[in-house]
Amino acid sequence: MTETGLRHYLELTERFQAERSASAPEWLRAFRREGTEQLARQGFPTSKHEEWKYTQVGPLVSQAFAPVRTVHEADVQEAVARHALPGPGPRLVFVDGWFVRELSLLGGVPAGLTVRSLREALPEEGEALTEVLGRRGRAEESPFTALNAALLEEGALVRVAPGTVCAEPVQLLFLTLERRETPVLSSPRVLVMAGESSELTLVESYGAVGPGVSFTNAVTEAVLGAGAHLTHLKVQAEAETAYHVGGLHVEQGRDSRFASHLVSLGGALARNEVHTVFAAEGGECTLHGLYVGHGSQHLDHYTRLDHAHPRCSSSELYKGVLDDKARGTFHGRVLVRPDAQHTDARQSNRNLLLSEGAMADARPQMEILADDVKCSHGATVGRLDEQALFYLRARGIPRAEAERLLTHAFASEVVGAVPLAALRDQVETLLALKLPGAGEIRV
Amino acid sequence: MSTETLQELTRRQYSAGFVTQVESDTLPPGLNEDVIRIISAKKNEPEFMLEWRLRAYRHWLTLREPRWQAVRYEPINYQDIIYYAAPRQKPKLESLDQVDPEILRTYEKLGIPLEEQKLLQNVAVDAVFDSVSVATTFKEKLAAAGVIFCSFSEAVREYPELIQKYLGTVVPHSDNFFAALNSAVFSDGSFVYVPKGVRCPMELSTYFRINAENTGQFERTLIVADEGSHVSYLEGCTAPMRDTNQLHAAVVELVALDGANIKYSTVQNWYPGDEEGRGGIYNFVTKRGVAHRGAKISWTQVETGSAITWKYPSVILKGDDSVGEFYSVALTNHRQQADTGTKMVHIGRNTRSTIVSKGISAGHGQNTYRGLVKVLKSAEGARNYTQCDSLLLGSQCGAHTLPYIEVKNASSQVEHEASTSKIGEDQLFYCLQRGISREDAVSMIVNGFCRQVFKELPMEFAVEAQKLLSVSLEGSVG
Repeated sequence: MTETGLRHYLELTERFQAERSASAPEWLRAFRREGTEQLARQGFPTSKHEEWKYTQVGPLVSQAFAPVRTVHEADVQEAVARHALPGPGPRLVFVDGWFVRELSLLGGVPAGLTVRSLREALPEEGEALTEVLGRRGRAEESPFTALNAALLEEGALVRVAPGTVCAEPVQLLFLTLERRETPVLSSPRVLVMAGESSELTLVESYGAVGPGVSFTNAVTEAVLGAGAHLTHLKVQAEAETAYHVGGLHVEQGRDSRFASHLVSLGGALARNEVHTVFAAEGGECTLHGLYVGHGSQHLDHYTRLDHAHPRCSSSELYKGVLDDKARGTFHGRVLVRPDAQHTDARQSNRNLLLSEGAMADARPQMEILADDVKCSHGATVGRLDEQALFYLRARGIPRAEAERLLTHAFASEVVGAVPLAALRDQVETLLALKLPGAGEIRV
Repeated sequence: MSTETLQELTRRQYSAGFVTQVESDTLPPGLNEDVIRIISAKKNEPEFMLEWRLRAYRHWLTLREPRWQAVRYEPINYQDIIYYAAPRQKPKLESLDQVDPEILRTYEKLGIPLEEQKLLQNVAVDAVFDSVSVATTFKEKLAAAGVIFCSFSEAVREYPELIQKYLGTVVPHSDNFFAALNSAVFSDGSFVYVPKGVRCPMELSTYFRINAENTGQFERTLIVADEGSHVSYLEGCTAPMRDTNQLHAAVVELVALDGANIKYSTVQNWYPGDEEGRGGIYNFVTKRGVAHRGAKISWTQVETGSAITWKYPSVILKGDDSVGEFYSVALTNHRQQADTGTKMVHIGRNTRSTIVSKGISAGHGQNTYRGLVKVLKSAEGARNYTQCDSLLLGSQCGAHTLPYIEVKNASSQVEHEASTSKIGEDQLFYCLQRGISREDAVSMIVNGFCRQVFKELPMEFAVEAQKLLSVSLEGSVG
């Protein structure tokens, strides 16, 4: 099955590249070709792959997903309104992976900040983009990154000049349309260059216009200069029939600070990867994640924190709430390299199982090769605390309501840490619809 | 700072290294069906054993050596290994006087004279000297209680129905590469059967010793605790110094029937190789127990020796209300590598498991904890608690923690906690300030770090383990 699936994707990328060979400069052709070659070499992972042990990509690979160019319909407006953050922007909106200028907000961009569609930026910026492009999101490290590289065309370029502090968040909104003929594949690539001592909050929102089978294969790469602060927020609220694979690859300069907040709600199968590397001393990294699954959703999370230099600290918290027959997977690796002394790394994964059929797999991993370090990790899987439930019920709160309260409290540790109030409200609304006790209203 | 003391400690040579001159009755190196037939014939085994060995061998031929582990070693040439070596003297012995005095002296050098153990510690010792049991004590006392404790080969001859019933039921011959190899060529080992409701009157102990150059040792241990019985088994090992790597692929199977209780303790101090990582034992062992209804299996291990330690003593919690425990101290010094941990598979309702693992790395040692906690759908109300702590002594070593937690039942509760740190300067300072030498202070702190595990060991072993740690752990202090 994966064999034919792989053939489909290889043919697809070759066709895609042939169509664009005339217009693309040599470096870009080589970049895409490398993607195809890496995809062919690696193939799609099976459960034999240690890093894909709990996730089968069969259903994703066996369907003939393909990029589709869309004429968007009127109801997109409503979805945009639902997912857009209030405020002046800037905001780029993508439909089925294609940038739509009319839906985007490009005004109010402060000096020193560049936000534009990657497709528009490619011819102008040229090879200079490879300073970030493919730097950390490497085709040789994952077949999905390779597939994204082979189909590279659209996405976003976000550049913050040194010393620029952006007060307003930049939002990238990716919407997938309801469709029945061709299941759509979108492969956005987001490049973030945060100059020295700059500050930026970037929001990536993934949503759907009605139910449909689609495949989003997104790659985001960010390079932080010395002393830069970048906060990356991702809300993945695609349809529960959709497939989502997302990779976030970050390189941190000296004394830089990076925070990632991930909320994973949608997708029949969703895999989120976060890879961060400390490329110099003194960096700080926070990784937060919340995944809430029901039905037969499969939500997979893989994080890799590379302490390659001394005196960096990282703190990671991933929480899962799993209902019905949903399965949540967390695999977090913390690597402390031989000379990375004075590393402080904390990692925690907590899972709440709400029903009999729900499943959770936790794999926190520490690989430590330096001695003067402080590292710890913890993982738990369990259900709601009977004593806490009893406490609430003794005070006249019905069981269902008590369960809802406690579940909400469990999730709020992650939601409450989202630094953007407007986004926090959005997530709260989505959660209220999704957590049990919300009646029949389910997105 | 303490670097010099630490280096001094770390440099300490293996003190149990010496070779005893005993003539061995050995087969030429190499493995084929004929070798297996010879092994089986030499041991006067019944037909079913030979069949079983051959089945395992044929399966082994279809297997490939695993590659996923976090330990690295030169490829093993399985045709270079001598698969059978027995001490020359053959006649059945009535008492210790009849044992080759050379062998007895070997034990004495190790500080574990059989007589002393016999007299003072009330422990029955089944000593395995190069694959054949040469001395068994306290048999009568055990026999009076109905407990069978004998060498595996004897059990095959005397109690074939028990062997046939239980052999391979926990670790089948097809389980993994090394278990298959062991099943084909195992030389000897121990067999224990504790009848219904019997509490074994003494701790059972086997002192393993590898001798004879180039002899791979393939032990096979089977312990069956019948309903409501209780047994504590001790296993300890040291080996002489030598340069060629020796493969040790043992299999241990535990069967705890309803309400039975098995406690299995190991102190392992095989030759770890020299400072450069030359020589040393490859300790690739498959250990697993099945706990039936209300039964309890407890593994305690102190692993300080071997160039490579690679094993996961596991418990299949098959029956309702069964309990599994794993307490481990693993120490790697010089170029030693360890990839060890456990598997707790919860199948029955209200099954409980506890894992406490302490890893200590020094020198260039690499220490990996790898553990699986699996809660199946049927394991209503299962409970697991895991704690893994690592201590790093030196900047060249590594500590890795790789737990796997798979939960398929919502009513279960699984907790995992791990930490990694080095010896606190403040703790060292506190001790030094009170006139305790740096060496003693380090040893004391490390012993304190391992206390949770040591207190699970039977008394005699706890003392030995602490001594061992202070000597070889004197490697845990880099």
